[in-house]
Amino acid sequence: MSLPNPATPVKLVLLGEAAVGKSSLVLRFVSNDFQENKEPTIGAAFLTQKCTIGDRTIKYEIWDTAGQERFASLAPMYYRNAQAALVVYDITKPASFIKARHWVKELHEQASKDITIALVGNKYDLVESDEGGEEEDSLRKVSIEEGKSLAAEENLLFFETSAKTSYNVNDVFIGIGSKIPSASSTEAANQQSHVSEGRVDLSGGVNNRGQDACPC
Amino acid sequence: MPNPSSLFPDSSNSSEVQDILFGRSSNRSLGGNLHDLSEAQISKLIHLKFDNNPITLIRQLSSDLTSKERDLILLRKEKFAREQLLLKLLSEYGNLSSLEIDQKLNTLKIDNNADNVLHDLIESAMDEHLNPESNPSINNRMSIKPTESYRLRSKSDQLRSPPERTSQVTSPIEVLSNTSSNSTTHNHSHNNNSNNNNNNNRSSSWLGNWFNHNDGSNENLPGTQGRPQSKSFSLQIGPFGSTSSLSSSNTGNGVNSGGGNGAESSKVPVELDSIKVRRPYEDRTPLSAGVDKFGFFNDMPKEAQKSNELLSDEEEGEEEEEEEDDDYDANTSGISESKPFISTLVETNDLEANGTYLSTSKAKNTVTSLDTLKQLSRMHDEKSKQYEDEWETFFKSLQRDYYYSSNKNKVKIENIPEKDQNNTFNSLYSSANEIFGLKGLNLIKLEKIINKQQPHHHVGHVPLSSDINSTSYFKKLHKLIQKMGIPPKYRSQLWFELSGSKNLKVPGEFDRLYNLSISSVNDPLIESNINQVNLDLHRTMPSNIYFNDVVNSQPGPNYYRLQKILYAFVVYKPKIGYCQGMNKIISNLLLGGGATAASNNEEDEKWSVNLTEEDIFWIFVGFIDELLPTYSKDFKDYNFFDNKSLLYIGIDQKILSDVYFPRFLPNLRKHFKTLNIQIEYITLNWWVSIFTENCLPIEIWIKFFDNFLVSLNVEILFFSISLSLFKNFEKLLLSISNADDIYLIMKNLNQNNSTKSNLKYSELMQLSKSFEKKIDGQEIESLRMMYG
Repeated sequence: MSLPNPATPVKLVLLGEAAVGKSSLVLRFVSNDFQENKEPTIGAAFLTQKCTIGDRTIKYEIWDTAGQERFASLAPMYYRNAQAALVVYDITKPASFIKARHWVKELHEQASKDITIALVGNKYDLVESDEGGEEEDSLRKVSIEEGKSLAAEENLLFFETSAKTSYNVNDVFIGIGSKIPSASSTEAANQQSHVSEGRVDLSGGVNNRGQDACPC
Repeated sequence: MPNPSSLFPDSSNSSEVQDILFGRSSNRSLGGNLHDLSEAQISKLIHLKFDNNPITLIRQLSSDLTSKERDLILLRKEKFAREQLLLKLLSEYGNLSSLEIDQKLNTLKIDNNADNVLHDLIESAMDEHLNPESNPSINNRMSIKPTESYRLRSKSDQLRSPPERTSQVTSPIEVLSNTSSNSTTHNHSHNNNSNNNNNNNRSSSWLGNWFNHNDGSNENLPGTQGRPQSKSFSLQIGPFGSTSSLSSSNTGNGVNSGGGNGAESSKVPVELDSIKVRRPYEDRTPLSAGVDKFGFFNDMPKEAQKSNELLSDEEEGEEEEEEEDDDYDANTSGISESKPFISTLVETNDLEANGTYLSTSKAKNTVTSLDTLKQLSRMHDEKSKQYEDEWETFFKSLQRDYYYSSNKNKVKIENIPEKDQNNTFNSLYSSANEIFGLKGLNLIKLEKIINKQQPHHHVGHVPLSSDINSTSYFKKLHKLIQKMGIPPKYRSQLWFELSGSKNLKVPGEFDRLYNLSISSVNDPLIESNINQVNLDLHRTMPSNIYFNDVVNSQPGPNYYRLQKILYAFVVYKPKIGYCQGMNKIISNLLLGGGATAASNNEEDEKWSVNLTEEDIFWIFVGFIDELLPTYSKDFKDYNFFDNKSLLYIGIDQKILSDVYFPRFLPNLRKHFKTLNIQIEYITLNWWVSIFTENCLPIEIWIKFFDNFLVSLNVEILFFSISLSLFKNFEKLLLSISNADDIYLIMKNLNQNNSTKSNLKYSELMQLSKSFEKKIDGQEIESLRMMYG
């Protein structure tokens, strides 16, 4: 029943503080691999991965940006026409959650109006064994509630993940994929028109991404 | 050691035999195409050239064959010795440049006497006989898998009686078996059934190791090994080009005694030039063999494999044999010839692996390709020698003029003290504290002094090598560096001067800065930088043994060096602080500047100054302060690594893509435009990491760094290198109609083998030079105003 549909290209950008695991999340999603010491990303890395959701195939064009603060000024160049963004923080580092807040704010102000954003608290493996009890010495410094409430406030998808154990990683991308374009639940009959309606802005953005992404 | 000739039964005849065996008497060589001729043509040939006497032809053929075989044996020994040395170098030092490795390899003395080589063979064979089972580690059963002709011969009866060597096709290998059987008292009948090939192929000598090539059909049953009565050597000739057969390690120490297959897999297979481990053995392999000369594990990052697949139609791998040649072969006429030969080798390997014996034509090809390889290696050696000589000449003439300029009595050139004549480079430094100065600018001063003192100063000079204007040392230095980079033995010293660090370095300052950084830091700016550094230290070059000692699961020596340098730097320049990418640059400098390199060669020791982390620190500071482009805005100068500069670096990418791309690479620009590719997505990474990040392979990067040091306008060089990298892959890129693939390729240049092997310093430099000429610094300035 499933004729291979042409893959829908989705430009996805990762943002977040340095060393929260952005590249590791991507590596897990793209290669199902994990490297203990992933080299820091300079500028931005580029990877692609296809993902089938229902009868739809999405091809993620992933721009994995550098986390160091000084590279933040480059981020607009990458998120400007993105349809999706992962804002990643480290659940053991409160500062990275604050940074994530900033990124969400910036995306809402600067990025495309229709951008789908997922808030991702990474490094779940570090706290996995502590979950359940209320210990004070848990490595977890950002509670799941904090994450959830930020996500609810800002209308974001929310996940806690571990690139190391691959916990929830694919769910993030599937979750994003099912939210793009707006209605995956609409009937197939309407899909054609619906998609073109819903994607007017986006496709314009996609097609024009060559022209107006001046870094300055 | 008995005289090898005494091993021949008919000693009166032996010299003649050897002459014929080894082709010394051959005054002409037949081409290898006889088998392609028709019978009529051969008859005609015999009639015309051999006085109707076919025996003469046979003799001729035989002598040709034996001489080739002799070459082969010697070549194998040489290669084996080189390989051993390489392995040793790797395990002991790991971090040597191609030229250093070449130098060391060239000091190898290989016994050129085939008789001695054969004698070694025989001796080890006798050893085997004397210790049939008790000491398997010196059980040297050589198994030469014969080519068809040998095989037939070994089955023939001729072997049993002393052959009339003067009149029959004979090979040294065969003689070997004959002589050994004749020289031992146990003269059993030859057991020439196919079991000979099932002999255990273990060995403890160089020869045994060469021939220790299991073709899969061999089994190593303890019971069938060591058949002392079988005196015939079934020498198994592993295909020369098959590096897989050239397994080597632990020769002679008995480690191989574990039995054929087991021993083989625990061995370290080494490729001749590119030291690479075959994957199946990786986990069992001693670490030293799994790393390249810069200490990187030969494990390709996973994400790069994807883009590798894209390029699967491109040539892969095989030409890595020439890795060390990469700088030279572009200039070498032989290179175009070499490729077909290499593919021939591969072909023969496959045949061999399938158990098919070399057909005569294949054998011929193999011999030819051996010659070509030899030739290539000779050319390579000559080229590097020639290159060093050029530098030597350069230093000599510099020395003359320094003596001249510093001596008011106008000492003649001939009066340079003899002790200094042998050591031009060092004596240069005894006559002047600083020879080159920042960017080599001292040379311009020198030229001025000389021209003032004596307008016709170069009348008495020995002419320098033709193409270079002897009056301009500055230009000559540029040209030399552009050609092949700075020779490793001069590199440390030149880096130190050209970067200006010689003047920057304040004794003790580095340690003071470092101590400051680790003592209580109250400055939040420094603190945050240190934290940032800490985030990156353990993830810098995790695949390099000098940074990540996985064997002992602890950081390698360069980890601590990098830490010290970065800590000291953020205290030294808190305003610039730490920027991701610096870690990469310093790591490359550490690997290239010989901070880990040691030398076992006295000659080299004399020359090379190993840079300490302190020196690298100052070189890095000099590079950042004096050499990298700065950006001015509102009468302020921003360092390249300043926070604010990123914006301007971005503008430069805009200039690159909107001005220089359409101007210099119009086709590519058009292609990219249709695919909606943004060039700055690719080039920005290159620039902010100074071409280290997923861009230039380290061996090429180091040479480009040499060029940065003498460049008067580094940003022009940045533009031209960026353009050259695209130009270099223009054809490939034009053939790809998928934007993602183009990003994947250009953003992983040094990560996948196919693009990596297509990056050659000399070619890139050539391209870059041509762009450099066409880019005008003032235009860049005005463009920056326009786009800014």
